[in-house]
Amino acid sequence: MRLSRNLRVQKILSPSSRVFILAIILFVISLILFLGRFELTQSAKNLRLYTTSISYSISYIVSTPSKLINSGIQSIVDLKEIYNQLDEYNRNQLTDSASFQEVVSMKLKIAQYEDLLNLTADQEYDFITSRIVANFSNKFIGTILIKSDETEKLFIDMPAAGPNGILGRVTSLDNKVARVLLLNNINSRLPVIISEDAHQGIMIGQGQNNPIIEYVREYKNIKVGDLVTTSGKGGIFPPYLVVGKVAKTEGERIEVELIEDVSQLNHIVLLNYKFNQNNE
Amino acid sequence: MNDLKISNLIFYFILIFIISSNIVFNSIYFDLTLISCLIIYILKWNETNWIICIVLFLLGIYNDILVFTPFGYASSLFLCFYLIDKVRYFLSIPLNTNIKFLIFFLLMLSLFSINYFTIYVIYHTSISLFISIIPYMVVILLYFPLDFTISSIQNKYVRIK
Repeated sequence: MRLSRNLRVQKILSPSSRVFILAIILFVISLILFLGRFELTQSAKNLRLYTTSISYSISYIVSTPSKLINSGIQSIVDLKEIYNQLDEYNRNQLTDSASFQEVVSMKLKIAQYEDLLNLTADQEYDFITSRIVANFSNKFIGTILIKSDETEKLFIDMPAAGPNGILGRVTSLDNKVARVLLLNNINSRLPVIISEDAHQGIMIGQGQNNPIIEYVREYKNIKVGDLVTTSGKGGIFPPYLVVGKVAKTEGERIEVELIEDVSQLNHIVLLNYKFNQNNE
Repeated sequence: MNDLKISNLIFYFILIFIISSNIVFNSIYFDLTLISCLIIYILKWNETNWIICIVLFLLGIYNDILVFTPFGYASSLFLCFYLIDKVRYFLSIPLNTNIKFLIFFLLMLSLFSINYFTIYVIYHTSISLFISIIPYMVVILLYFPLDFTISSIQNKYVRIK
């Protein structure tokens, strides 16, 4: 009896069992962190704040071979794209001059109408250009890491935009890199207006899929192709910035095709917009 | 088994490399966290080396910080795939590639279901089934080629020693 107990104790205290027990303890700790939603606590936010740039620096060095392969493939794709664009340019060269005249005359007409309607000029903001250093947009927790020479001017919730429209907002930053939460992130919520009739709604990120708009009272009046812009409510994003257009409507479910494709961008702009300063 | 200590270092580096490559590769077809899980599962780890558990835990945290997944997500995955083999060892289930693959396949299927339903329940979001399942299928397809490669490397190393 005593001998068998000793054997059992010896088995438990054997090196392989100890490793097994340690692995189980660490596994349980990980599960507690994950299921207990540790990332919502202030300590987790601080941990991310201080370690993001360190982990980025490590990954930047370690992933150098991947980067070289990726940039090589990218160069080939870009070169092919340039040749295609050159062909297209040659084909469209003749029609371009006529289109240019048309655009100029339309711009003049718009200026005249705006003058007649006494419209105020669009709001303009200072902006800071930043380089995208890591892109995680194809995950359901879509984010990007950006680097700027003027990191001291960045602040949390700063709106991020591309050349055509809004992309997301800054969620964390330190002295080297900042993280931008993209509009397709499942945690993203953005107050928007749809079409010229300004139907209000909340756009919700859907991971790799197109975001959807919910809480629209007049959803029956929404048509495919309607423009979606920021409403400015909530004070984080300036109003009337293009978000995308309605891609699909299924009852109350309104799907939005975003105007900006972050995978095509190397740089983004961060808008120095603060609700109180603009006195809206 | 102690002969594998140096090769452990090589595999630690491979895991760090794969996790770090997240900043370069942004594809819907490849989930590098799942590929790391596959490597952890295939490897024949040293039975008495307690550092492995600590390293896997830290690598998980590193992955979570880099990719912005919730804390504990990657480390619980890594340790789960590490523990499966240990449990098999303690329960004395015979080591057979097909059985191992079947266990991996079932694990991937349950992981996919848990992920999919968690997102549905917590975020009220139904992500496209097709897009979500692709990375899991890719990892399952990669099982045999990777198993063959890693086993060859590990066996060769032991033979040389």
